[in-house]
Amino acid sequence: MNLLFLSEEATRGVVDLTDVWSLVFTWCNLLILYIVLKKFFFNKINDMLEKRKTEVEDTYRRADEAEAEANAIKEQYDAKMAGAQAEAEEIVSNAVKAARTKENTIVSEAKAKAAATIAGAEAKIEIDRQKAINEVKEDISSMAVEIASKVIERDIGPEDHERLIDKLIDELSADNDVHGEVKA
Amino acid sequence: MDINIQGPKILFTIPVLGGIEISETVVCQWIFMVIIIAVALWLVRDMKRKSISGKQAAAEIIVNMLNKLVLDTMGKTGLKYAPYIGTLFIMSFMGSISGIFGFRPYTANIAVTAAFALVTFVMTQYMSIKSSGLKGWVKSYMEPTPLLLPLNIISNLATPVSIAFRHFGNIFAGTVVTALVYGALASLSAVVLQWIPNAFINSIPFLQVGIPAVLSLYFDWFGAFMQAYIICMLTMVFVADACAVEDAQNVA
Repeated sequence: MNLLFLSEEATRGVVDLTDVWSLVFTWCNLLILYIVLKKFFFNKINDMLEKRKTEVEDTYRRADEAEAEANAIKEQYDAKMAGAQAEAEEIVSNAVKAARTKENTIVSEAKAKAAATIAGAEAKIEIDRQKAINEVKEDISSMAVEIASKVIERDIGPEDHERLIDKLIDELSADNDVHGEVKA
Repeated sequence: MDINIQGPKILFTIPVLGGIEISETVVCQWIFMVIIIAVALWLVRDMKRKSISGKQAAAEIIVNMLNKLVLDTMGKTGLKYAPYIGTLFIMSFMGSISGIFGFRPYTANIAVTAAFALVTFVMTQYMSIKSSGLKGWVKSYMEPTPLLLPLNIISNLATPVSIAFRHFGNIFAGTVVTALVYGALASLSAVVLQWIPNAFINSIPFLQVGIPAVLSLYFDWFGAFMQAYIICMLTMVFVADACAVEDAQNVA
């Protein structure tokens, strides 16, 4: 088996440094391919990538802006909410204070009224007591006269009469003062 | 039995300037250029910003990956070279992979890889002049001492030579090894089938089915990708290196 490196009429040498035209044509082909690929492939795709990159960055920037805006709105809302709560608390506390004041007034008025009523009642009781005492006094005097006339069966002189009545009343009064109240 | 490793065929000659020979190499490049441009145009057809199609996503992934690679290797100022790096990559990769479509891989031609490498060389020298001025560029050959001028020139010239030969050598070696394996498998098939007394059956190289696919996986796919990646990487590194002075000045 022979390995032959042929360089016939119709072929170039296997390692042919005189093949300048192939070299020149390769340059031309490389240049043409470079220009065409650069213009219609690389530039187009790089433009597309760049466009997309810009768009993505733009989208992110817009999202960030929207977030910042939302945060600002939320802060405003929170501040408003806090203000509203404070206001509500103030309203409630004012209402409670007013209610307390009113309550106190009502209670004190009621107390005063009650005290007046009690005082009126006590005065009336005292008057009634005096009246009762006087009535009892009169009843006892007449009863004593009757009892005395029946026991003695004789008329006593008006002087004796008067004296006896007074004496009895005084005794009853003394008795009454010791006990502090009337015995029915 | 002979195994022929041929150079690219000359398909026709343009009768100007004493006859420009158009070889397989150039025609193959034209075919792949048309395919690449067609695919590229199809990929970017009706692109949208939202709810993108699968092909647009694929195109964006390709460009993003390329941009990231260039950014990582060359920095932000190198990003403008991304389209050239992409072009170089696809040109190199398609050239090496074209073997599986029955072409002679055009990157197995030293003229093609030399063209790639010379572009890189010119770019580095141009960037060097642009970033440090003509004086600075001349001075860079005198560093650290003017005594090293010849060495500096050789080392600068060695760069494109090494790039060209590395790429060419890898792909060409792939085609040679593949051709050898095909030949060996044909011989082995003949040996295995020699008990059948029929010349036609004896000539069927049945072992060529399947086994070369593994080689193709390495030499065509992996090799093609690696060489394309390496030439792009080297181009980026050398150009970024030449731009480094400019960057340093910009920072200062």
